[in-house]
Amino acid sequence: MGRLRWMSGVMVVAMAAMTGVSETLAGEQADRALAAVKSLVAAGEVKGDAVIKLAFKSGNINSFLGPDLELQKEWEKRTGIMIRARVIPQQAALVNLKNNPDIDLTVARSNELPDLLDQRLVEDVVPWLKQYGFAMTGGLPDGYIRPRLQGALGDRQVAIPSDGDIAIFYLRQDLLENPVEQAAFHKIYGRKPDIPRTWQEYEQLVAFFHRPAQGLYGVAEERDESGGWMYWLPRYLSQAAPYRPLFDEGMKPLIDSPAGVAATESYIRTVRYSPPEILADGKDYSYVLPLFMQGKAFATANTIAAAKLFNAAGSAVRGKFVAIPMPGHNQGGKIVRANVPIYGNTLVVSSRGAQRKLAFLFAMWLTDADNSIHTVGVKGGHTDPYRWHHVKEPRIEELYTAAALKVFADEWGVALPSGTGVPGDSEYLEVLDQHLWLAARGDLSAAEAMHRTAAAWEKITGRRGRDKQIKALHLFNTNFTLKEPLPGRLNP
Amino acid sequence: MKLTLRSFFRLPSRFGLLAQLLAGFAAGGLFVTVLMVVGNSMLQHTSLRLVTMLEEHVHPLAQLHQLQSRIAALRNLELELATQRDVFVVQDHVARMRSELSGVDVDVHEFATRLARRSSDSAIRLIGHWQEYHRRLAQQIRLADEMDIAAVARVTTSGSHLPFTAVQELLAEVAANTGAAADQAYQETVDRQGDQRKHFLILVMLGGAVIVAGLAYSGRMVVRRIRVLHSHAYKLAQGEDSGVVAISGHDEIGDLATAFTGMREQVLGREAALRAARLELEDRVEARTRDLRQANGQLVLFSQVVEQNPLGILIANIDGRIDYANDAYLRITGQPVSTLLGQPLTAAVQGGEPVDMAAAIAETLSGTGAWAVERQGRRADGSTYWERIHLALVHDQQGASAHLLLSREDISERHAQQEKIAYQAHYDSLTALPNRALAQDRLLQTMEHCHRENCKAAALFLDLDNFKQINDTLGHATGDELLRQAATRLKTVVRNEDTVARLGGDEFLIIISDLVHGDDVNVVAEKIRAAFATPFRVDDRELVTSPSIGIAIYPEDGSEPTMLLRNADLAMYEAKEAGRNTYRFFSGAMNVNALERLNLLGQLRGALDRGEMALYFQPQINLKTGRLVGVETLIRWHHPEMGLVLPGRFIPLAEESGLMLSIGSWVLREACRQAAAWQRAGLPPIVTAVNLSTVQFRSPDFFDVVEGALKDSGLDPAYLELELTESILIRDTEPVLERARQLKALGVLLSIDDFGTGYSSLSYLKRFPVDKLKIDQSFVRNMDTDTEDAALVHAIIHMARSLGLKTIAEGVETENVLRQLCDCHCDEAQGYFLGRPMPAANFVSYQQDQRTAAGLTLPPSGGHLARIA
Repeated sequence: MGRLRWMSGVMVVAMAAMTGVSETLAGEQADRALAAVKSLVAAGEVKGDAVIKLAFKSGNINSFLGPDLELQKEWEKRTGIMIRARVIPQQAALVNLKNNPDIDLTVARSNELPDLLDQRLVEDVVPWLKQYGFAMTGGLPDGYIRPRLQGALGDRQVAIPSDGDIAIFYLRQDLLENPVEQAAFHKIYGRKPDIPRTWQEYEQLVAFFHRPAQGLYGVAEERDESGGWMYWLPRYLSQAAPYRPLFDEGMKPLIDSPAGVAATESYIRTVRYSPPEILADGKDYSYVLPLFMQGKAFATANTIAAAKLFNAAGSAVRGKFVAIPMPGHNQGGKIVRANVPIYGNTLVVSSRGAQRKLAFLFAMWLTDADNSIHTVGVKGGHTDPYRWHHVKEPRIEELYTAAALKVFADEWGVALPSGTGVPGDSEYLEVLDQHLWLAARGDLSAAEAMHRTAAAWEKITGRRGRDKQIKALHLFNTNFTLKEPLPGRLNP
Repeated sequence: MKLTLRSFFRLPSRFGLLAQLLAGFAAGGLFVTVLMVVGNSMLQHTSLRLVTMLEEHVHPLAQLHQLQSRIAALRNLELELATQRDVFVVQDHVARMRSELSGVDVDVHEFATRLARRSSDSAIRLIGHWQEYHRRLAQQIRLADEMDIAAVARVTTSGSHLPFTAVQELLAEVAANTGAAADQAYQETVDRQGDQRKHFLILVMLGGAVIVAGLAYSGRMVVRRIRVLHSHAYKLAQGEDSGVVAISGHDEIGDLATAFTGMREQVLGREAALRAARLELEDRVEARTRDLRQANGQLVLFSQVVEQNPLGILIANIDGRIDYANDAYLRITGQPVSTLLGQPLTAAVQGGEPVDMAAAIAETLSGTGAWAVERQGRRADGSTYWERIHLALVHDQQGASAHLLLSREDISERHAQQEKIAYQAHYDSLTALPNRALAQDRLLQTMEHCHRENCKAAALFLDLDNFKQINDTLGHATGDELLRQAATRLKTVVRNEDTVARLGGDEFLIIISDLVHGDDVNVVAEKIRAAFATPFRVDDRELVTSPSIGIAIYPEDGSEPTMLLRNADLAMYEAKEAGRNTYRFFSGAMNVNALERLNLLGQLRGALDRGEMALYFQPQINLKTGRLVGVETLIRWHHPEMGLVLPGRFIPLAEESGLMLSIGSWVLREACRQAAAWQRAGLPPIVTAVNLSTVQFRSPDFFDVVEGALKDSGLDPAYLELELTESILIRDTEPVLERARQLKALGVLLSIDDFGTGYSSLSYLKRFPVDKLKIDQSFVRNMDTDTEDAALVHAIIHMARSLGLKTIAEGVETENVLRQLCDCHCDEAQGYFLGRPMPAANFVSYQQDQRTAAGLTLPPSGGHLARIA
């Protein structure tokens, strides 16, 4: 612990010198949380034998509480407040919170937050942040990575970042750098194969390296019936500068448009360069990532976690892959790119929990700059970097590779709010996924898919109440204009 | 020479208690120290063996089990890995598996190294199996790193299973061997420990026994001598001399015994002197106490006697002044004590009949003796009582006159009792009339008066007619009431100066004095008759009785009261003989008749023995068949000089004299005997009826007499008929009913004789088991001329038939009567017309004639009855 605190101190000094902004000193957030707990107990607001009930999805407990639950033990030792953690199914946070009213603290994805707030299932932590003097501005050197983008809706902060997942594309660097391949590519496309800047360039590379007879597919992007929206949305958002919204101000879908059709066509064009089973049910990232890892695919997409996988000892592409910035569209000579948080978990305080304030303080203690080092990039953990200083941690760089972490950090500069941003997000996205899948199968044209999706969205909106949805959308749209701290080099 | 511990150990001659105690503690402490040393040695040895066993067996076993668990956990990770699908989870799982594999590998080799010391072969085999399993796991990890999960699964199911099993089986074998070795070592340790514990216990027991023996010996020595001393001291305290203290020893107790002996001698000497003095003193005190107690007891006794004496007691000084009066005096005289104290004694007896108390005091003081008087006293409230006053002189211990003692006793009750006794001695308690004794005294006085005044006097001896029948029939209570009313009536018809006395029973004596002529008493006699003319009413019942009066005149009929009474009695019998309800004056002939009655009674007493009595039998005829069906047994007395004496003469005498029981029993036995004899003689069986008197029926042994007569004669009870009078049945209903039932149970027939002459109701007919009514001849005899008698006979027959009873009419003397009886359906009849009473010998021929003539021919109404016999 002492060594970590010293290293963090060095980083703080370096980052502060670089940015001139310092959110907190490493460890201070944890101390503040502990002090707050003690004051609560002393005031009798919380009993000494209180228990915080946590709920994590399968395989996540170690990621949050550390190897051998060392962070849980540390918390209980420091505060005397016991923690009872249990595993909940891999299903929507909305369902989990409804089914488990006694939960104090659990995880949710960023796109799920509008629904949780709408149904008052999660607490706004802004009052508690102010009460106990916590800052959540995402400042350098060790602040949360874009905390408002990940966990805020308007003025309300309803989630605390704890797993920084953003869409990352990976390519076979060895092939790109292979002179033979370069020559062949140049012969076809008149240029050297390089990191693609646009979706067009990406698709050319994929097409070029698609050689199923040799056991190499052009691409292994997820194209199953669920989750397609995560790789469709960057294609769509970048259709216009600064971004292409999904709805207009009156909640009218904008996807039934050339932009939507273009994004969809880009999405489905890779199918032909994919493995034959790519559209089969259940062929998710556990299907595509091993293909890339075994050297059977030229390209793939996932989160930064995939870099850790590809860089593992048994990986066939270790040292042969490269994480690339999200491709974009050339809009008037300027490449417009967009990325969105996917998969990543944030911590939410259940509004029905018995120990809400304690849960909040525990979350702040857990995601403290110092303590979080123990949960990010550890063996047996899923937690990916969510504070800026994580990407500079040597042990983490060793796992993910420095190059990949750099791309990861930069991508947060083009990150936009994830999902639809309105209540019923999962319903909207499910409809989108289904039509994208049908289009990928060739059952529908891209235009028809967008048309049908827009129509279904209209029905959903009508059923849920357009005015209510419009109000939520306006709140959500403020997230598109967030000015949150970024690493200096990438800051716009 | 006696060998002792002291001599054995050459101890000094004086060994005090403290020294003995210290020596005992030292010995005990030495023993405990030895025990602690030995025990500690045993514990150390046991601990060493346990440590050895722990290191050689338990730790390896624990390590072995831990190793087995870790390998099993590794196998679980292996199996789980094959089921994982999420690539990130697989990655994490492989990391854990890799880490665990590394740790287990180290443990296996460490364990194998230790195992080689005991079993190199097992260690070599373990390493071989483990390396094979390790290789398989490493292969799986590698495949998982390559995300080839399918290949991982194949290795799990086919490649790693056998080496894993081999490792586990080998470890199990080693565990079993190690466990067995541990068990053996443990058992050896336990056995060894048991031996040590046993030796230790033996040592403890031996040591303990020595200590206990030492303590017991010392204790016994000390305690025994102290007990001896205690016993001597206790006895000495109790005043006993227990003798010389026999205690040996050269310690403090021995010294104490010596000192005690000296003290004992001094105490005994002093105690003997004290005891002698005390005995003398106690004798004196006891004698004095006894005298005082006796004197005090007497004093208390006398005081209580005086105070609680029922006599009223006054004590006055020699001057006649009252000093004391007890409670009884107040109670008897009503005079408060406070008013008496200090008063002269003469004042105490004022009130009531006057008493010359002053003279009495003077007489008493003169020494002539006590003075006493009985008088009627009067209390202050005016009430009177009878008292006895007694005055006596009290002397002191020197014999001088000290006090006067006046006692007054209330004798009212005794006085009244005496008067009552005197009254009862002269008056009849039932009628309050003078009794026989007073009557005789009055008669004497009257006779003396008339002798002095030269006048006449009359003695009227009165007897109530039929009183005995009334008394027997209706009971004594009715009879007594009749007597009281008769006495009242008698007193109303004489002068006050005349005397009416009751002599006993229904006999009264009336004394009339100052008569000029003897006939003057006729008026009184008539008044008496007139007074009885009106029926008496007792209990809503009218009773009729009349006086029979005998009169004797003084001085003509006797100069002595006894003679005059006897002559009046004889005259009364004459009146009875004359038909009752009349009076007779005494005459010389009466005296003769009385003598005759006495003579007759004397003759009657031996008549049975002399065989002068005989039975006669009068036939009884069935009026429907005309046949002889029975006889009535009648007694006759044939006197050798007087001839035939009729029952009317001797039966009353027999009843009065008590001869009736023997005569009745004889009649019963003789009648049964005769009837049985007739039957044995071949005559047709007929019923023999025997009359019973009241005295006979009530006799306690009457049932036995009947049963004996039947048994002795052999007569069937069905042929014996007992004739009872109504007076028998009416009195003492329940006993009579029970007697009648007994007789019926015996089988004899019962009939009621002289039916219609009694006083009582007919209700008893329903209750008593009678068979026949015998209609009295007074109704039958004249029924052909007297319509009332005829109606009565008819009524009786009708009633009897309705009750299911037979009827027999007696006194049938004419044909007309017989015919009427037949007309009114009377069952049977007897009388002179049908047959006179006859001796047994004549009756045989009569009965034979009956058989020959086949009985009487009873003509229909209006016809003539043919008389055969």
